[in-house]
Amino acid sequence: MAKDLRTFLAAYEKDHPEDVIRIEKQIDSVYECTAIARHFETLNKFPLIIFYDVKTASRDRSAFPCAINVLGDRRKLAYAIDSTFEDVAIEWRRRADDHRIKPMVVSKEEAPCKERVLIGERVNLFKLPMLKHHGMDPGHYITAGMFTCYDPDTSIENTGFHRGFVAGPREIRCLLTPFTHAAYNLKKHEERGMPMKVAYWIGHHPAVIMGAQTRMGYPESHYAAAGGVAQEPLRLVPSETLGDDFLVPADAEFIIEGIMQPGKRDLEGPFGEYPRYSGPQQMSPVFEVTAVTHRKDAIWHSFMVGINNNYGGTQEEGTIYSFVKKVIPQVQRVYCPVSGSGRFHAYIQIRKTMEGQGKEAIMAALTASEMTKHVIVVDEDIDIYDDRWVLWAVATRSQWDRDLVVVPGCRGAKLDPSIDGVTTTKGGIDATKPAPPARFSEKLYVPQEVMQRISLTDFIDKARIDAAPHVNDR
Amino acid sequence: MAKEIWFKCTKCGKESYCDVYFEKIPDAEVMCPFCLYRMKLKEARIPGQ
Repeated sequence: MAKDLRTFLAAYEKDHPEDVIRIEKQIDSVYECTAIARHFETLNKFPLIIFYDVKTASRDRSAFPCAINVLGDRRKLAYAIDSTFEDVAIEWRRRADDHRIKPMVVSKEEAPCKERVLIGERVNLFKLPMLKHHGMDPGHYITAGMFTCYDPDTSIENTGFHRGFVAGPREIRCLLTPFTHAAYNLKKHEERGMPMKVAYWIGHHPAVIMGAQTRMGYPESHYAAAGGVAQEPLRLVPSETLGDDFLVPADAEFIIEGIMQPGKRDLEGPFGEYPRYSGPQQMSPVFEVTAVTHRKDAIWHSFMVGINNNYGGTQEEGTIYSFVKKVIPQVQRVYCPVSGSGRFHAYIQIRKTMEGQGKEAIMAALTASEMTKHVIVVDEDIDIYDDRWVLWAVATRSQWDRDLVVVPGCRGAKLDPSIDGVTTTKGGIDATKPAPPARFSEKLYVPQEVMQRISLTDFIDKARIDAAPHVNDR
Repeated sequence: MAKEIWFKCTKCGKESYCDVYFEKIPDAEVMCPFCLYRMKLKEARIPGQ
């Protein structure tokens, strides 16, 4: 059986029943699902939630459930590709770079996404359980839609997440940010006066989503990367209204097909984005919907954009790791923490062997992505998954006149509210100790033998330990 | 440099913002995200913002 959202849900719930929550009570797609996700975020929990009774934009009960937090935290990403919390980013990148698998084409009869086919005026997007997320959003958005288009020169497909404001029953306005390959494909079509055929596919196995979303060169097949990360060929099927050469994933839950007319733009946003601000209103390309196909019991998927950032951050880590590894083979791990919205801060752990490696790691990392803005390089004794210890390394192992790198005038992330037009100032801090054989002050430690021999429960009841207040409790 | 232009809806009075490049669009329109009313930016722009 091919990997899809259902195979993931069944396996994940079997292994982690405590992390899957099914809500039968009716809930409004306007803000209420977001409120549930926000409450969980306050608890620092990101369970996979399926809402079965969603009041839609058309104010009806949805015929479909809506799943959120499918890629809600790093542990789920690791589970999806049979990796670990620490290794998931590197493994994701390794598979996407080195183990791509060509997709295969199946007939429409074999494609679950064709179980229901709605063409033209039979489509009403407002009946779908998409969400209106935050207070300044103008309406309901497609957030977990894998936007798909083709390079007109090579016919190689490009896929990536691009938010879509559902402005009408058959109209979506999509933000294609300037440095994306989708925006480049649209520009090529427009220069030739051609409409661009486009699709969103929604709901698939997280490994397929991860592969399809991988940051890659241009033009390179994201479907092959999806196969690589999922470790099986992605099954594709011809579209209904865009021709047989426009292929979409056969095992997706929903496919939305349409075209973008050259030069056509309309108002979209503001929208609550991953930096946790409402990104400003844009003039965005208009996706004119020609068809929707879906499984008969399809599950909608929404990202809770701006609530947790593990997904995007983990992807950035793999990209940064591969850039730094070429320059500093001693790189151990990379982490893009939630404190940088999963994009703007990168913590890099190296096994330092000579002076200069910290600064070179910074420079390599800063070129990995326009989103990588602040880099902190630490030694391998620092837990990069915990902001406290990274900042402790900054506090005790760096001097800013010696260890700071500042690079003005770089490409910036469009949704970073602090950038100057399109450029940003990037930088980094080398918070590593001097390289051996130089010596450095000794970190505090309790002898390992004692730590292993002495446990709390040998001296204190477990209930008493559990009841002690957490340091962050207020 | 500000990244957005703030405006006040001429229909519902709520405030929102568009990208700074709207300034370069001749006779730009904006849409209130709260009531979806469309208006000219020059008529809705909040002075000094």
